[in-house]
Amino acid sequence: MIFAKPIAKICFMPFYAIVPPVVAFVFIGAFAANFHTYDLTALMIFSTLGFFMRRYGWPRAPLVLGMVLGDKMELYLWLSYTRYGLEWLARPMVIVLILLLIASIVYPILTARKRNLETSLSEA
Amino acid sequence: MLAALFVAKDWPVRASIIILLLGSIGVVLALLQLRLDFKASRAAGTKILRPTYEVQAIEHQGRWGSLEIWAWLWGLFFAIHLIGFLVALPLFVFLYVKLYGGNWLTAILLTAVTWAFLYGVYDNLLNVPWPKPWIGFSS
Repeated sequence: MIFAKPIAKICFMPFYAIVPPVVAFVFIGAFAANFHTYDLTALMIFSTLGFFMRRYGWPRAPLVLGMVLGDKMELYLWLSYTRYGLEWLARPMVIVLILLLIASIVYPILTARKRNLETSLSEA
Repeated sequence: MLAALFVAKDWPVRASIIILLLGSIGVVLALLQLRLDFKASRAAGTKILRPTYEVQAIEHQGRWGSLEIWAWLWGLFFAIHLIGFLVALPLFVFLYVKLYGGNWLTAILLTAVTWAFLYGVYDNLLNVPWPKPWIGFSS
């Protein structure tokens, strides 16, 4: 807590003092993961991807979530399939989760449609 | 996604299960989205209202827009491969600070701190195996 005020002053530093160290740490961090320069190439590829996603309004959070959780998801899907076959889909909690998943996809579409209809009615 | 489904259909179950599951769902959702977009584009004067997940993209201020920062990043990337981490990173810090209006003291200080951190922590303490640069300056 005693360092909170001095650290908060970093926000008021000029950008040319913050950007180079941050970029340097990003490159070092990318390299230090596996000590391989291919990770720097991956860094540049994903930076470009992230830039264009931000530029054109594509959400980046699902991509990051997918990359973080994808491994585990594949493992547990495989374990469920080998243990129970397709019967795991008939389990109550699984059914509830699938219904919630469908609702989370369908609900925004229905809301958007309703808003569209209201907008066109009010304009008419 | 269709290509992934086509390729994965001949793989063993262990390898293909996640691709087939996510690919099938993805194809269905993509077709649904396509239909919605096509329907909306045919209706004259209808605005497509979609749920938004991101704040509006910020337009980069500067003479060359975002090309400027990309030039710096790619320049650093190639400099690391050409002359190595220990030279490229401090050089990048120094040039960036100087070219964007920092004074000599700030530039030298930040460069020294960057180099000291790289050399002290990563080289001496952690003995990081730096990649061999294409031209000289290896540690």
